[in-house]
Order: sequence, then structure tokens, then C-alpha cells
Amino acid sequence: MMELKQIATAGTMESSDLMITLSPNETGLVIDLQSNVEKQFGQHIRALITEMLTKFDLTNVTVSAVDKGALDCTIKARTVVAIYRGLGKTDYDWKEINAWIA
Amino acid sequence: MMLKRIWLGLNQTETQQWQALLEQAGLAVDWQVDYTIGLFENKQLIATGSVYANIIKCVAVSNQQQSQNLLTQVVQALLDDLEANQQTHSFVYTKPGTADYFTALGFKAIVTTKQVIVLERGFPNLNDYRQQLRQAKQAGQRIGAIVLNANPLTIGHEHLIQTAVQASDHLYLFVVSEERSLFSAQERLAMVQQIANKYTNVTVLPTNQYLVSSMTFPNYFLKDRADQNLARVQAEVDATLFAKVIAPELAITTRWVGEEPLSPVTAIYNQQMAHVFGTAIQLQIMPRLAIAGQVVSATRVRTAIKAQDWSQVAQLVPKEIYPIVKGSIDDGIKTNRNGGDHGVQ
Repeated sequence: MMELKQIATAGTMESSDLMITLSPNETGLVIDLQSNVEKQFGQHIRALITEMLTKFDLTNVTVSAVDKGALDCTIKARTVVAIYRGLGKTDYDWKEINAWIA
Repeated sequence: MMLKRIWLGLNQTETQQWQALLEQAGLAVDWQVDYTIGLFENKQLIATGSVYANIIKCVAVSNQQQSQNLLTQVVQALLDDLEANQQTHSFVYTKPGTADYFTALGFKAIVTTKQVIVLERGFPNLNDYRQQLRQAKQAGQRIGAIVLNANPLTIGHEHLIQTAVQASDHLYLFVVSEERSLFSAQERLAMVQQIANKYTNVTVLPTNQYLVSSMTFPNYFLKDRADQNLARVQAEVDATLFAKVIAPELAITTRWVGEEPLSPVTAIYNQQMAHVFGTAIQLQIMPRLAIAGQVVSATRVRTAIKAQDWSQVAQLVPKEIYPIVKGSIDDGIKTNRNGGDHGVQ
């Protein structure tokens, strides 16, 4: 199991974007989502975030996400960047990442 | 539209526009800011926001320009600046009516009074702090709390702690975490821990930013210049957070404070605590310990340090604390440091 090294943020709060902050914890995945489309897409957005975290085998994470109507590709991309930053990794595996997001 | 930094005081035209915009929005013109940005259209300021440490404040959007979501741009720019400074956690101090805008940007309300709402975003947050408190919780009926800055710890503090311990099953000592004092938070914690070690029923805790900080109580750190109306509002925020969040977590029944006859801000703080606590928490105001006709205070110790009057310092601080004080000052780096007049107790 992987552990986050630090608190990390990616994205903005502009329209069509997602701002996501990840913080390491000891208790398991918690997702706090703020979205105008929570009712229609809340579960879907959470599932996308969880999917990306699972790719990295991360479970002990508190997620705070502010969604401004982001598309799936944006949600995934922002989450992946936050994960890399949180892990202190810079060796992006583009081929793999592209396969997830496409 | 152009987003840029406003250099308050340096650029007169923009500073005047900034003041006018805040007044129009019904906000106090608060000069205690580190960084201010403005959104301009045709050289007219249409939205602004500022940051002080990790506190977002003075956020205003011109009446004619609302409904364009300019707030997001302003807050985003401020968050970018905070992030560039490695601040992963921030607060907003604003009027209750505007809370919804910030909630939509991912901020969470942590304390509300009639005039003020404080929200936070990022980590570590109030939940993490509450968890830390829960882990430190001890059983008992009479549970006391003292909030102290201990800058440095004096025989007055020691006396207050002693009195409180005798009347409590357990006593929590909250040491102000903010780094705005002559002695570092780490040094101040160590001093308080030294005294706490003498007892089996005393726990030392940090306040993080949730008690007497520039977030809950900015004016506390500017006692000499403080606006008393503003201090009243802020003291209520601080007392409310203590009563609603911190005290219930540890089942605190009594808050102990030292009397401060000379400081109007402290007097206001004590009044507001009594008012907010009501019957839920007892407020015990203890007279100050005096030697040679003068009350013992951390301010007096700092004055003696400045005058290099070490025999006076030795009289005013407990003997196990003296080496910490002397050692810290002898490190030499302290001479340039801000003395900040704010010994909480």
C-alpha cells in the first residue's frame, strides 16, 4: 500500500475545473465534495476520484474537492496530478496515464 | 479585465480605490494585510481580496459588477499565492451574509457569531485538531483549562496553574501556537511542559490556530493600537469557538484566566468569555500575583530581558524555567526578534 508524503493540491475553482486537495490520514478514504451538480453527478465524481486513487493503491487519504462542472477527463487529470504531487513523484508515466484518462 | 497586485500605500490611486470599494461593501478598512490583489477594468477597481498570514480577508466585489463570478478569480489568486508560500490551510474571516459564496469554493464554516463567520479550507483542519484533543482527553468531573502564551512563563503563570490544578480533577494547558512572540512556540511549549511535569493531572496542548490566534483574535496581537469595538467582535469569535468546539471535546467545566487590570483588550476578552460561556462553562478570574508592589507579567520579564537585568528575570520566572529563557536569549538570534506584547495569561 502506498502512502501520501504530503498535502497536495491541483486544479482551480474556475468554471469547468476541479480543485482537489489530498491529505494523508490514518483512517481510510474520506471524500468531501462540494459541487453544484452534486445531485446528478456527485456519486460519479467520487467514483472517478476513487478510481484514480486506487490506481496508486492509496487508501489513507482525506480528499477535499471543489467541482465547478468539470468533465470526466478533467476530474481524472486533476486527481492524478494531485496524487503525483502528494507522492513527491515527477516521473509521469504518460502512456499509462493517457490510457486511464482517454 | 486585469488581475494584479495592489501595493497599498505605494500606489495612491489604487489604494484610494481599494478603500472606497471596501467601504462600499460595508467592510472595515483593515491595513493588517500582507498581500492584496485587485481586479481592474478600464483602470477601475472592481474586485479585491487580501491575505494576512494564512487568513483571507477584505474580499469585496463592486456592486455594479456582481453576478460575474469575480469572487472566484479573486479567491483563486489568493489561494495561488498561499500555495506558493506552502500554506496548505487557510481561513476566511467575513460577514455571515457572504458565507455561501465561500462555501461554494470549498470553505467550511467553523464558527459563527452575529457579526462574523470564520471558514477554513485545506489541511490540517479543525477536525484533525478535534481528533488530537479527543486523544488527549482525560476523565474527571472538574475539568479546567488555561490558555497561555508563556512568552516567557512567569511565576505568575505558575501560580495560576497551581491554583487551577488544586481545584481540578484534570487541567489542560493550551499554549498559543502562533509564532509572533519573542520565544518560539517550541520554546514556550517546553517551558509549560516543565511546569506541567510536576503534576500527574495536567496535559499540555497546542492551540494551533483555533484559540487566540491572528485568525480568531487578530487584535489581541495589537493590544496597544486595538480598536475596542473590533476587539469585542473578535473576542466573541474566540470565546465561541472555545465554548462550542474545544470545551465540549474535553468536557471542560472551568476556564481559568488571570486578571489584567491594565489592558482594556484583555478586559473585553474576559467580558465576552463570561457572556458567551453563560452557565455552561465557569469563568474563574484570578487576581495577578504581585511582588514588590508590581504585578508579575510576561511583559515585565521581557522589559527586564531587554534591559539585560538578569537578576530581575530570575525573580520573575520559576527557577526551572530560567535556564530555558537565558539559553534562548543567549542564542543571540533573539535580539532582533519582535517582542509582541501579548502574554495571554
